Amino acid sequence: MSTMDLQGASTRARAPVLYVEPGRPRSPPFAAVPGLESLDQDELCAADFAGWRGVILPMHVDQRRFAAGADAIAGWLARGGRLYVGGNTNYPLLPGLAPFRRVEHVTPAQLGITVVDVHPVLDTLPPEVAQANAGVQGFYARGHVPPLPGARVLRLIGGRFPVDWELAWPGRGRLLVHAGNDPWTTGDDPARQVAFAHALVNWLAGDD
Amino acid sequence: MQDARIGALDAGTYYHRAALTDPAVARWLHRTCYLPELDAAALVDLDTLVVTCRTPPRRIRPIVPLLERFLAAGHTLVIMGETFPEEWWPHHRFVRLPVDFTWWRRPGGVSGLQFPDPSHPLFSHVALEHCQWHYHGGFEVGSGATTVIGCREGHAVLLDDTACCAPGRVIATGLDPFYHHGAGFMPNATRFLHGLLGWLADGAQRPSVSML
Repeated sequence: MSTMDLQGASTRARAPVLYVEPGRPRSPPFAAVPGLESLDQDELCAADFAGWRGVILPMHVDQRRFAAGADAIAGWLARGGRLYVGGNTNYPLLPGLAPFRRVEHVTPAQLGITVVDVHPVLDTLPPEVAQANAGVQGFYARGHVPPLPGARVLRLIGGRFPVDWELAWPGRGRLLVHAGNDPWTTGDDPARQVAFAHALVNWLAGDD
Repeated sequence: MQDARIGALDAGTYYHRAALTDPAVARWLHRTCYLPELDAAALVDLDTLVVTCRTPPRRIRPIVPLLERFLAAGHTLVIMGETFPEEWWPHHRFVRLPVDFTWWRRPGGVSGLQFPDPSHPLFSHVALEHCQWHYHGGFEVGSGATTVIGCREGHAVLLDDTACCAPGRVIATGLDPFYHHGAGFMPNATRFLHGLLGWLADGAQRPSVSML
């Protein structure tokens, strides 16, 4: 999307939160969530995120494309932007962000979730719900992305590895990282997945 | 015999990077091609091009003419799983099927995959059991095409077609091992990926007449 497009778009009412579609329509739990709009990744670059308060980068996005604008993302977060990042992040979407580290030599049963701290989004999907998956364990995550300095760890897998964490900037800038399958695809309860989608959009649009 | 020069499309996702830069995978690849930067020059010295798993149709559609020219030059195109070929590939009909993720957890459960010729050269690179995790659908098989891996629904989960785009060759599958290997999630997918690439590097040999 060009600067001119953004300027033109700014005259229209715009939802506060953007879902970046990875070449496919947005995930079903987000179908009817208010305050959300979708654009395909190929219509966007990282600098465009500044047009929204919150942005969702699901696990299937082209991370290489957006990591090319890591400095722009960092600047937007420092000015109050809010970002969710899912997947085994392997590109530095922010300066200093280390790649995903897989937990090796464990069985899926050793990848259980431990809650470290409360969070208004993740709390909609308690560990026992997120781990259901028709009895298949390890679907929530298989490793972690090392938290950036100052991050608040929210959940561990395997009792040790920080799979979910949040980083706050002075003001309302926030980053939520989930180093696994997007949580709204986990568990066997569609109503919980929809609740997660609503909570994520509310949090990304919020002021807390 | 020199290995076939294999190129693989890179859609820039975390799993494309993890799979394509894994040294055990990269050893089979002559080149990876990041899709937004792909041009004809990137294909000029390749024998085989792989449209890797979960490459979005939106990004493949604009390069279909390039793929057709690659085939017209007598090369091999490999279409991997979850690329939604029903939205961009005109030469085969892909039938999306309900996915059974948990057959292996049921006593006596079976994957649903079938192997019409277990002596096919592909299976000298990968064991039959290592082809099986789950599949997302299969292709209708026309004349000139061979079902290398079938399924109980009667479609080809791995199809080899030397007729549809002759002198080029199309190998298409409903299996998505690049994704699962890159996600670190399915050990059989990793084994299958290594076997598939070894078979492709060998020129994707077909059964000899004496084997038929």
